Amino acid sequence: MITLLHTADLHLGMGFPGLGERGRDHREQLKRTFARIVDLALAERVDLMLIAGDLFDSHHQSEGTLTFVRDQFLRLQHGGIRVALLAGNHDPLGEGSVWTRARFEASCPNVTLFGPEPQPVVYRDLDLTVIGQSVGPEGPQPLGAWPRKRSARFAVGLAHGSSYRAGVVETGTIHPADIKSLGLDYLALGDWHSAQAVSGPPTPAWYAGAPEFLQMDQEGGQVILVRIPEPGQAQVRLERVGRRRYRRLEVDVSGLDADRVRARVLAEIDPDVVLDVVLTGTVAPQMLIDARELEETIQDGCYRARVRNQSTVWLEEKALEAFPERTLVGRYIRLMREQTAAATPEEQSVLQEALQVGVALLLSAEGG
Amino acid sequence: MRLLSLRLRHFRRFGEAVFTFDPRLNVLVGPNEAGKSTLRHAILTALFVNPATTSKKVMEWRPWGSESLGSVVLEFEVDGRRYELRKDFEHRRAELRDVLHGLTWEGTKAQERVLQALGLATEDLYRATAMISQAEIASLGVGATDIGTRLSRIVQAGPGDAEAGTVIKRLDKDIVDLERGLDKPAKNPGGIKRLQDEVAALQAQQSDLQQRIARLDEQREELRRIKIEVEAAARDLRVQEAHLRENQDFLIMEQQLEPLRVQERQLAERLGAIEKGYAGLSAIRHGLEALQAQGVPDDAAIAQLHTAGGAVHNQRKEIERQQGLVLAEEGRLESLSIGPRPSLWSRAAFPAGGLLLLVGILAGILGLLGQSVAILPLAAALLLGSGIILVLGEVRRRHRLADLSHERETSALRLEERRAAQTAARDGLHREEETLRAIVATTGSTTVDEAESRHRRLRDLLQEQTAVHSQVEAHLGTRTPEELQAALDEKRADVAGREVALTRPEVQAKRITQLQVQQLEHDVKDLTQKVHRLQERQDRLERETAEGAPDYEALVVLQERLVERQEMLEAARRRALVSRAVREGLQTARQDILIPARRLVEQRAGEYLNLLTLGAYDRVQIEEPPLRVAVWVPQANQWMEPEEPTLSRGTADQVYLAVRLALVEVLAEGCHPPLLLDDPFGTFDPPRLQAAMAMLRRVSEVNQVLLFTCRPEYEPFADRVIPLAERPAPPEVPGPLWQQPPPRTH
Repeated sequence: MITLLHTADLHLGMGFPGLGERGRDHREQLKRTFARIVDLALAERVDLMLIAGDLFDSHHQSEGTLTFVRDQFLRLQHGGIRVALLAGNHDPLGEGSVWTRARFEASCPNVTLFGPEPQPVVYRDLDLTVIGQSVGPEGPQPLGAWPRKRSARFAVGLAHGSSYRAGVVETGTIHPADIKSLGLDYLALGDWHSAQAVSGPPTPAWYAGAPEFLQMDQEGGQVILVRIPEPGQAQVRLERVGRRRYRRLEVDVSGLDADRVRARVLAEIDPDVVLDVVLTGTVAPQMLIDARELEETIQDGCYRARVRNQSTVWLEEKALEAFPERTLVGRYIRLMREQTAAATPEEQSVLQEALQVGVALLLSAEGG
Repeated sequence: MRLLSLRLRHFRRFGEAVFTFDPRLNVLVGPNEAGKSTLRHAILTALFVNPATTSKKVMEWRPWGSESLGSVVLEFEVDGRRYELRKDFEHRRAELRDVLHGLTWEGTKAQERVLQALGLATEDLYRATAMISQAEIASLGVGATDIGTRLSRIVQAGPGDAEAGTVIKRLDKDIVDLERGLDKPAKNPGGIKRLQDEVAALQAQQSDLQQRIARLDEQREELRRIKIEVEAAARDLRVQEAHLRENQDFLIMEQQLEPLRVQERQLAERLGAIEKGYAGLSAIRHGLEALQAQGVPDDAAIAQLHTAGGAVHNQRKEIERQQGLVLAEEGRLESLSIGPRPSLWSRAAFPAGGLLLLVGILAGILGLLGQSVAILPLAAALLLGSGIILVLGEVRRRHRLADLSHERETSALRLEERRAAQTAARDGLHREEETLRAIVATTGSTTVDEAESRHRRLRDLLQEQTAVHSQVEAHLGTRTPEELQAALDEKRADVAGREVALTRPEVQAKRITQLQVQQLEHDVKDLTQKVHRLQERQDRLERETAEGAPDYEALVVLQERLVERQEMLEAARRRALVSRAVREGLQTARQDILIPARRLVEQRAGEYLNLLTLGAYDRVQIEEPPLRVAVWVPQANQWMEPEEPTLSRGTADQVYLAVRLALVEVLAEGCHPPLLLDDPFGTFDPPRLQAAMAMLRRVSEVNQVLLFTCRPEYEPFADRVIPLAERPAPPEVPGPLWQQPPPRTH
């Protein structure tokens, strides 16, 4: 039996424009998370750590970061854990790349950095062949050219690239048919930032996802522990390592007033949560929600908060009974409704917001 | 608003007066000068005039003969709430009190509440709409501007115009705050411009930092490459230097081999010469021994031989000399013996000479004496000369002959001496020869030559021996022949060893030609320079890169800030876009709302006109600006202006009355100001009057009507008739009219 820890997409050194002053702190958190992954590998006594690309966000890495990574690899070496490592599309191999500066394989004997061509590496003591292919100057490559012959009992793959999605054309797409035909006991993938399987047994292939929060709309924060007792019988377990969590909260504001919406959102705040609130539903003109105000309200309670108002204004005649056309508000609502209907999609977005803003202004002026 | 009562004090003709009104239609009737105009004026004063005014017109309101200004107290009711409005012009104070709730407002606030309740904000507007007098019924000119403005600003049933304006103002301010400085420089640029500038500055910083980092990255990459190059070049250099050194050693070895060979050859030659010298010395020794055995005159013997030989030789030379002298003397004697013989001439010379002398002397004398011829002296001279010569010559000849004879005798004597000397010399020669032979005999030689030859031979052999010995010594130097032989053997071994070393296969494999060595020297030199250059470059790059590692964190932070600012800029632009859309939407909506307001006036005016004209006319059109009124005349099937002669004066007044009532209704925006009518229907015939009063009754259900007239025909339609006496008696008023306001105010 062999045990593996599969991670990818650390994106060390990444910039976080939405975090403001906390961007630097979160970059440090990426390192802490990497150290936590190493802790996990040591605790689980895995045989091999697989890093499926994008360990670095770019080639611009300080000596401090490289030293940190080297130290982590050496920790693994002291624990008898080897590392199979790929360059990803963010840190591809090539002249002047971070890899030529770091040269981990020179200082860390337990590290194998795969080249830009498909390359089998045999770990005799594990009776394991690992086939890997880094991203080179040509970008991600498909699995078609990977060797089929095995010289060991177990076979594991390591690749970085986007899996096939219907209707999406991408360079070096990893196709499920190739995954199946390779017959690997496990294929460790990198590139997508949310953990997910793209192929099931007996040839399982998984994206480990980013082990720490990187961007909105991405559910990361995990690594994958893989046990392969017998060829073709891989068992996969997702383990949480990330500190910060992305939480998407959809609130249907239909029939809710601002206080109730705020209460629903406040129930979700947490200092380590990146809260992505989406207001949906249909709201009467007199019950509009100020998304910006709501975002400001919850911003301090979360690691980061974003509130997007995707609700629509209830513009049916029944809803507008309270706003006769001869009134300014009534006339304004109807006018914007007409203009929105006739506008291009880009203009519609502006006009819909203008409708809500205008009505809110008029009603607050009337109330004041 | 419905007026309940009006109390006047010291207001023009009224010293003290109280009027009570019905909430609906009141007819205030009285003859001319009864105070109708004053009362109307008092109501307008109560509604509109600020007691704090400094206008001198206020002074005109004093009663005749009074120095102090008066006051008015108006009670009215709005939406079921009763108010009491007090205006004290003497003390320049205004106060409004909510009677039931006890609230009080003072000054301008009191005035604002009154106007708010009235619905018509200015006196002019009120006069142009709610005040109707017969003379002015067809004229909207007084308040045309106000009405037009009001109509264009009016918004029905929504937020008030002020709020709409506030919203648009706020939007305008937001847009300006966002867009200021975009089209022209501004001292305090707006949000978008500030963000644009910030983004541009950040982009410049980013570009600068990226360039610096790229340069540092390039330097570091170059440094890495150069280190590899230096290592490779140094390795090449070491290999080539070793190759060169080996070949240089080979060359040196080869160059050293030739002199070694020469030395070897010289040593061999020296040894050969030494051997030959030794052989020569041996031969010389043998020769000397043989010569010694034969006998060899020594140097003394040889000297004696030479002396004896010399004496023999000298004797022989003397003999030869004596011989020569004898012969010479013999020849001389013989020549002297021959001597000269006397000739005829010599015999005659002496007499002839004497003769010539005589003749000459004679001729001379003659010449001296004679004077005969001149030639005589000359001939005498010639003769004398010739005679002298001849005489002297003869004298000399005779003298010589005497000498010759003497010489002959001397020569003979000398010959004899010579011959004796010759004989003596021959004797001496014999003696010397005998001596010589005796000496030769002592040397063991037979001849002098032989003795000399042997002596010479000995000397030569000795000299040769010395020379050969010297040569041998020279060849040996300080060493012995054995040592020289050992040196030769060593040299030969050295040469042989070197020759073997140079011809080994591994050496042959490494060996290159002289030309190639030269080329290799150039290559090594070039490579050394290259390594030097690379090391210099490496040192420089190390210095440059050691000054500071690329600040990637700063770049990332800068990029974060840039993206944030770009997003903020986009948000600001969108906010401006949305604000513009809101503003344009609001402005359009307001514009749209204006049309219903005008139409409402037209609609209501049409309805009123329908009532007034009993269905004869029911459509009114108002063009604003300039508020020109038109009425639809069915008989003419067209819009016509309500004026004579197109329409009768009465019909025209009906149209304007209808328009005024409609304007009051629309412009007051839900408020219901009281209507003040001053005998308005003077042009109406009884049916029209009937219709007008019937309509007024309906209107009075909403708007209280105060109709001032001097005619009694309105009274039947009144809810209350208030008669105005020509000189009304002042009522009994207990206590002062003006009371201090309660302390509670708003």
